[in-house]
Amino acid sequence: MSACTCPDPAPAAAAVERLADPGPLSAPRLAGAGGVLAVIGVVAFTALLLTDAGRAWGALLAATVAVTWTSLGALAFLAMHDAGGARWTAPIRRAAEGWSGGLPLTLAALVALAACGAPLLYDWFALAGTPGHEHLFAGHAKAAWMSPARWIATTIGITLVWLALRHAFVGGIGRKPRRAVLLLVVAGYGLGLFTWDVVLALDSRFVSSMAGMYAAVGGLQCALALITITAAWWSRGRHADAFRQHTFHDLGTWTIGLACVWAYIAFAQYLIIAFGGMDNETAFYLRRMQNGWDVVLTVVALLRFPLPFLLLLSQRTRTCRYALPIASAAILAGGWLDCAWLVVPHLFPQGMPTLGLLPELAVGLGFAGGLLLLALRYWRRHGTLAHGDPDLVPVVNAEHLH
Amino acid sequence: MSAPREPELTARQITDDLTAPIFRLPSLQWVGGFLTAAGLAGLFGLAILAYCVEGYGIFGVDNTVNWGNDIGSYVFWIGIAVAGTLVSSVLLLFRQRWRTGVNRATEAMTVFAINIAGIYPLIHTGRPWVDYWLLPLPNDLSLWEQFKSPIVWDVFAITGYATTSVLFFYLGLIPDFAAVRDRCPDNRFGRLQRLLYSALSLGWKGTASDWRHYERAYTQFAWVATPLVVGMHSTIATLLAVSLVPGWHASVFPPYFVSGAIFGGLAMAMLLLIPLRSAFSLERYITIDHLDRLAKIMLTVGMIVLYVYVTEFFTAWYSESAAEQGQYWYRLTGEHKAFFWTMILCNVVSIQLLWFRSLRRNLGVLLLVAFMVNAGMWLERYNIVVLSLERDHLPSKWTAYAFTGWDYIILSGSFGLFFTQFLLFCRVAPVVSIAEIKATLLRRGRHGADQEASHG
Repeated sequence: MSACTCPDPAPAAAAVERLADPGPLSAPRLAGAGGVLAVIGVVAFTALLLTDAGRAWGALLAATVAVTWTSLGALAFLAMHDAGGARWTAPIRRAAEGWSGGLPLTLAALVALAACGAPLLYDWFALAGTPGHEHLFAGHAKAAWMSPARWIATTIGITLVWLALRHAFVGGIGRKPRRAVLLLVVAGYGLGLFTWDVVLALDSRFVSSMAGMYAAVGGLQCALALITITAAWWSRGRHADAFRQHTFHDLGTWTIGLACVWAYIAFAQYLIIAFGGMDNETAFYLRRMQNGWDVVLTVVALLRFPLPFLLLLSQRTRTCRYALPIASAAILAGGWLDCAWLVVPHLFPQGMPTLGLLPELAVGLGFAGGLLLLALRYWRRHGTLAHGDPDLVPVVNAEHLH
Repeated sequence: MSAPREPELTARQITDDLTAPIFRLPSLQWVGGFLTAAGLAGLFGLAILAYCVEGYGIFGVDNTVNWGNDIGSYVFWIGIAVAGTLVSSVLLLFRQRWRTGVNRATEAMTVFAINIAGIYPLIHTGRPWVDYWLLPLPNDLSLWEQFKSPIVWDVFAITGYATTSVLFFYLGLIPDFAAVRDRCPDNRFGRLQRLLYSALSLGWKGTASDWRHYERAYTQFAWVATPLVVGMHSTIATLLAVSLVPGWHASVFPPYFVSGAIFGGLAMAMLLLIPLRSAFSLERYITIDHLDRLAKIMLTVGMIVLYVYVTEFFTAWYSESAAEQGQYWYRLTGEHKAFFWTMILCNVVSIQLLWFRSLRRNLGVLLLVAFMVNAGMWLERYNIVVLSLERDHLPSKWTAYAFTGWDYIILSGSFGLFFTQFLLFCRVAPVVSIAEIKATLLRRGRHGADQEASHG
């Protein structure tokens, strides 16, 4: 790795006194690509709906989970640094804020699921109001908890709170430590409940107290990957003077760190469940580790941990123009595949469905297109660099490192 | 950040201030504290002696609660050890320069806590004279450890961690030992001291080459220590979580234990640092800002611990497992409910004071919160270990665990042993890293106080 000869994304340059403001982002080709992806998603979802409605809603759920975790991850990444008083994130602030814009997609998907799709995914949802519903559970309390009305209220309520918090946090100039702390507390606690309701509730007997942390770390990892790719893109033209080598070094170090934390959380959850051998827990993994799903799990694990870890281990590759975006792209692919692996085997325990995961990928690309369009809209309104932020120029000049 | 007045500080003065306690006679407070702590440490030794003579029956454990005070206290002390390395190495990796005021004391805390922690499993085996069986040594019967057992993983985890943390600690001390060596007075005792510190400083000359190697090695140790510390405490958590004992089998245990360890360890660091700064007049080196930042981290990890408490109860309820639900109901309402509610008061309620800046900068409040969190974290381990075993799956096995006099002695003795080591350390080595604090304070003198206030 150390012999890599690829050019730095932003070679060391002279100190700047002020950064040029290139104005609102106008990227018609990218917006067009986002639109095409969104159309692909809608077409794929409609086609699936006509052929296998359950699969269509499963694909939608997987994409929703991926977009939600990633959007929250982008918010949380920024909030963590704001709360901790870190300055190095000043150049990537707008990038992170832009990618945190996927929560409206979450809301729309949840409304659609509540209206139509949930009964096809959650057996307890379908049986609500029938005697069979009570028989799914040992007690009345859980039966009451696992009711459509409560599920809709909780998931949509949490999403609305997240949207309000995001609205209060993004935009503006400089760090916002107090709002960041509030956001972290609410988002962190809410994400746990959201993940239980949306993912773990697929199998109402499965429990894992690690679920919230798994979602949080996965979301942070994917958000960082998107931020990194965006920074690499902007450093090649739009903001060549704003993204210096040290920023990419920090992004690369964080990428390695989060890859390690993800591996730790994922493996710890698996190890404890596998050693415990409780049928209500192991069934979740068994369903996802046989009939071809084990291959998917292996690919997820490779994309999310060893690949970025080994690729970026060297300081040289960590700031390389190609290595960092490649590792980030792998993480993003792994992130979506992870969500698909959590949802789709529940519907197809006997093995990979027709066309493999291609239809799910198409729906996922549709969500990615939607997220891209929302992010572009944000950058068009707020710009791509937080001009006026007192931390910006000092950070670009690496003063925080001395 | 209200920084000390830069013009007053020179490199020479920093060295003089920080090495002064080594060369002057101990104060009466130190002697009093040391004798008290050493007395308790003696009781710790007495308890172990009594145990070797009388057997394990002198403690409160029985066939049901066979992991009592020893294992609870073991996890507590390991937790203290974890925080020390994390404060030092993680903050170093995150380029948090303010760590230089507190890292030496926390690294020392790690080393002293881990050697106490290591004693507990060794005596808990019941036959400490054959503890060497834990090592993978060839033997006549071709018997080997059960490598599938987390207990064996634990041996390797702790051994690896102890080795790394001792080396990390010692490495940081080398330039400071050299500074002490160069200040030894020229009399008979001073020459003896110089000889000792010369040996300890490994021939350090302070050349550019020395510093280059030192800084590289120190950072690399930090990189190694961080995953090791997380791995070690996660192994301990796994040791409990892979079993099916109600209250133990939770997938969140590894990160829960790590965050709990940091939480308790930071509280212990506060308990050490606050008296230390006034006893040795170190207010300019261990500032209110340092304590404020430690308090913020403590609040953050405390909120993570609270999240896990909530998740544990929710998971038990959601699982519909009678044993899990019974266990958590027992914690809330059983005969030891006072332990649970005291834990909540200490670990959840008390830390809410730290949301307020004025309280975070009040030493009395910080000491109170730190003391409560330490008590709460010990109770947390007690609740996990003892209360879970008291109410296992089999009602006919249920029992009530109670401390014997020897349990109280060995518990208080462990604190005595810890403080004995720490008080001795304060007299033989600088409690603030001279080399690192110079780099921070003198740099700040050049660039202005705000440089240190926010970075990274």
